[in-house]
Amino acid sequence: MTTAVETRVPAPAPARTSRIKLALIDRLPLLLILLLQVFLAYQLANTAFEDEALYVYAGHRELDFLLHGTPTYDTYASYFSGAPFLYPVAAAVVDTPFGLEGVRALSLLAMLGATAFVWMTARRLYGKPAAVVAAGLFAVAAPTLFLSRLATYDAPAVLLLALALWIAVRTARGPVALVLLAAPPLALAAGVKYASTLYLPTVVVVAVLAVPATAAVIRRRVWLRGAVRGLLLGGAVAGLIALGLDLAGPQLRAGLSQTTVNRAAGAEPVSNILRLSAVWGGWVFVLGAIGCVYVARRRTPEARRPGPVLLAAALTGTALLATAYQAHLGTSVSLHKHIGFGLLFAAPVAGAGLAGLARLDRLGTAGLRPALRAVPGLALGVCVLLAFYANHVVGPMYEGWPDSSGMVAALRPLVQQGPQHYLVEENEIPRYYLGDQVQPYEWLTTYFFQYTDKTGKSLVGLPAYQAAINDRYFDLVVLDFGPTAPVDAQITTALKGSGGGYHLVAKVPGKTSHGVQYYSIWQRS
Amino acid sequence: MDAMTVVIEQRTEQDPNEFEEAVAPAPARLTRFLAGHIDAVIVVALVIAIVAVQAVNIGNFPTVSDDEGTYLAQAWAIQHGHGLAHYSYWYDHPPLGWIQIAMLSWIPALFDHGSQVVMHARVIMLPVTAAGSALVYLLARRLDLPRWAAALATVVFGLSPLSVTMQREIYLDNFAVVWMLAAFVLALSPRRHLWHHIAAGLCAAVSVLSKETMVVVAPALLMAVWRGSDRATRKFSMVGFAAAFSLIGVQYVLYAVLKGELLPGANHNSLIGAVQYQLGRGGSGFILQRGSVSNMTMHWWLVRDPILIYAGAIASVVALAVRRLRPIAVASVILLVVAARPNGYLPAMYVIQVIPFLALAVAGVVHAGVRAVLTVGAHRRLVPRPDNRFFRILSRVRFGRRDLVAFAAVIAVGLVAPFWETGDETADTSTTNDNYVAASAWVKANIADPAHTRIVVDDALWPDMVDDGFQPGLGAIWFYKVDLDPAVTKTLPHGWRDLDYVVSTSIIRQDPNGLPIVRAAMTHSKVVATFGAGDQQIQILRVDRTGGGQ
Repeated sequence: MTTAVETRVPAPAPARTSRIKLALIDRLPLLLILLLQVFLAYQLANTAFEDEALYVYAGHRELDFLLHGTPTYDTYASYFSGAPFLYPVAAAVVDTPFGLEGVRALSLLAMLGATAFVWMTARRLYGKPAAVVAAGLFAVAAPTLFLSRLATYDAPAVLLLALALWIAVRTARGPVALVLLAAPPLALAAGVKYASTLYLPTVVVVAVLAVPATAAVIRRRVWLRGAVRGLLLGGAVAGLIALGLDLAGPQLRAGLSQTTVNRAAGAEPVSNILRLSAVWGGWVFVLGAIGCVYVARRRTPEARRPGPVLLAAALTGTALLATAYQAHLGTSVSLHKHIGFGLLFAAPVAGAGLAGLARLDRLGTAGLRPALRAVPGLALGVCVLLAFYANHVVGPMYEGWPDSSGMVAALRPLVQQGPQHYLVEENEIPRYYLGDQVQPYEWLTTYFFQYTDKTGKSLVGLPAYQAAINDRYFDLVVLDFGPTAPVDAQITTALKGSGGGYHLVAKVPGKTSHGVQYYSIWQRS
Repeated sequence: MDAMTVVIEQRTEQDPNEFEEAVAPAPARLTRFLAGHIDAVIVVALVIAIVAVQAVNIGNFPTVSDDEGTYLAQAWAIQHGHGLAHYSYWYDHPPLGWIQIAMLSWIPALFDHGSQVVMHARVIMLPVTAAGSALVYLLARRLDLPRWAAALATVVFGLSPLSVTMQREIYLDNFAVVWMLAAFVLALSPRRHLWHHIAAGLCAAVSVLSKETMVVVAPALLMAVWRGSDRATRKFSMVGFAAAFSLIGVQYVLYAVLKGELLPGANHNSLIGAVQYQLGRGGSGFILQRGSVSNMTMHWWLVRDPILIYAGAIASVVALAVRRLRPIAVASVILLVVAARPNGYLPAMYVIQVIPFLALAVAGVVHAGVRAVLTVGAHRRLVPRPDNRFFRILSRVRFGRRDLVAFAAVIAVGLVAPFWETGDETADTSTTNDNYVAASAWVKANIADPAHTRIVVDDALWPDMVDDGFQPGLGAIWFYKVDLDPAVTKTLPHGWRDLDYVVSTSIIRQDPNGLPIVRAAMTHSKVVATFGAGDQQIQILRVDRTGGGQ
């Protein structure tokens, strides 16, 4: 009698290069999505937006103050909606060697990072097919593309929130204290852009719910662990923010109050705000809602617990926060950007929803009836369609402000060294582009003006402009009939009636998606 | 024990999805009922959606038309025992259309009555649209289309912005279409009963007597009867259909004969005379000739919904090649050819007759295309030969024919739906009849003795004037009749001096030269009220019998 002995030899571990290759192959869809995001983002082109110019210029002033003690001649903290010593300084550092395109590339990198974190979060929660779709949906969403090409503090804030969200999910099955890793990025996000605070509770809730949602076996301790994580994270973030506010000083607190907490209410109809929200992020929310249903109806034992459904609902519901808050404020200012913050949270669930609709979890499953097989074409179709509409929406928005290249080129030879007075309606743009030629205190605006005339009388508003024009106080006046059009009209009348004190040098066109806007440049005769 | 083993093995090998279905609890009674009546559930859902979209803002958009007022006025005449029309019936159209309007005129009474009767009467079109939508679905099913394609046809029929605009107006074409759809449904009945084909003939006759131009579809309907009948009984079906159609149709001729109005003669209207007038009527030019009235009409359709017109026309031609779709394709192509005839008369509402056939052609061709894609060949891999790890992973992602269909469907729906949503939103939010409402209200509030006042109005306002107490016909006068109807003209011995007011609307201003008395009255009048501006401005003119005026 012979005995056959089978010896199992374990497969050799793949070599390091092979592991990298495997990892790359595994993440190939993400790489393709990121490339698509870059491609679509670079379809957008325009000169600096008012806020971009303001923040980058402020960053330079802050940097000069930090390095050389040069006065900023402004109290940015009192009206910025993010700490002026955080993003603006970083932007200025990049701007010095690379210019505005470099700063915008920084935003693109941040948004690419956010897409990658969406992928990682969705993959951990709902699997790879959902991650592919989630990353795709987020990458081609209109707010993502817009923020990818906008040098403001929105993009880094989104990145920090995405990082914190991923940490909250990633550490769900690890030691409880690991959740504290999410606290610094959350606090930093709140500092970079105050409105990010709106999304901090969601990350804390995710820290709680991710434990029961990802646990292999549910016991009472799982919920307890979740609650402890939530308390830890909430407490740490609150502590960090309190510390930051304390250190930042009263001006920053005033800015926080003015721009975010107690922002002046507008009178925009709720229907407008809802419509804008639907156009910019509605479909991702709808797919998120489908994702909630999908999570609740999954045929796995884990899915029958409340944890995953509550987590999906919390993430999807977060997409509504910006809309709800701005409807409360009655303003749609920056709503198209803020919706992007919510999409970050809803995208993983939306990915799960669309992947579920297309039955992507059955990819590679042989033997199923055709009616039960995966239909990747459905998911691809939805993503392509949403990308098409996102491009359709984001293009006109990005070209909504006038191309200022002509105006700046016309001004460059007219500005001179030395104390001058330039009255420019939206002076952030020339102030940024001509920063090497003109000092900050030389710029004046049509929003507010105080002037003491020759008799010593202090004037404000239109009388001040008229008196200054009569006294030939301004060296240059640039009007584009934008937000202060009625004042511009009065100033134009005063310039024309100045008895030859001023003459029209040029009327420079600035192309926008809604027509051509003209800059009227007047020079002192 | 063996038996138990077998059971376990079977359960182990079973597809998990099928297993869940097998052990699922018995569905509730309602679920069972719904599952047994899926078509009915779909139809009800679609009809509710379509009626909801069409009902919202139905009175305010589109602008009330003179034709709507005419048909409503004629329905009023029937309802109040004044004969077939509010003036002499001159065989302009067979009267069955406005007889149906009269039958439905109790519906607006259920709702709020505003000052503008035509606007509020439009609600009677909702049951008509509901019936039409349900019949489109049923006809699609009888053309062997699956449920999704039948639903697609219904959605196209009921929710295209062109449909939403036209189907809410009180046009005879909307009634005629419903009867013609019913005729097709009966002709293609799967039971192939003789009485179904006879009923198809009856419905077709009612359709033609509702709007005579529907008769051009008869060859397509005959084709449907041919296809829907059994070879053994086909001759009976054809004879039954033809007999029913002609028996009802001939009643119209019989009416003219009995009234002595078949042939033209002095001092009376006649059927033949009306036909001669219609045939000799100046055409509206070639539809493809830039600047012609027909071309402008087509342009107006295209503004409302280019997708339906272009896709429908192409699909109609393609559908000729698909045997089961041929009857509706022939109907559609005939209607398109008639519309495109050189120098034919092409009114805007003509498109109503074509819409259901375009919708069915689109759905049918889409289904044929999908079926062809899905059945010709099997799944294909993106990467045919996975010879390394990278391609092996890629090859797991199959992009087969079902994916192609799903992708195309998502893109098509995604591109069309927002366009239609915008069009339907316009229809559901625009207010284009404010001037009519204001003018009507002004007359009611400011003309003290309507019973003894003569006011010239277009037909959109005529029912309002009657409602206000003006004498129907001779007190409230439809502006055409002032100059063209001897029965009215003879009551105006002093011409324009016998008139008190003219309500000048865009319709009246269109052709003042052909109506000298109206023209003179407008010339010798003063504006007492103005509503709106531009083309759609309405002015109330008080005739100055002394010869003054503006």
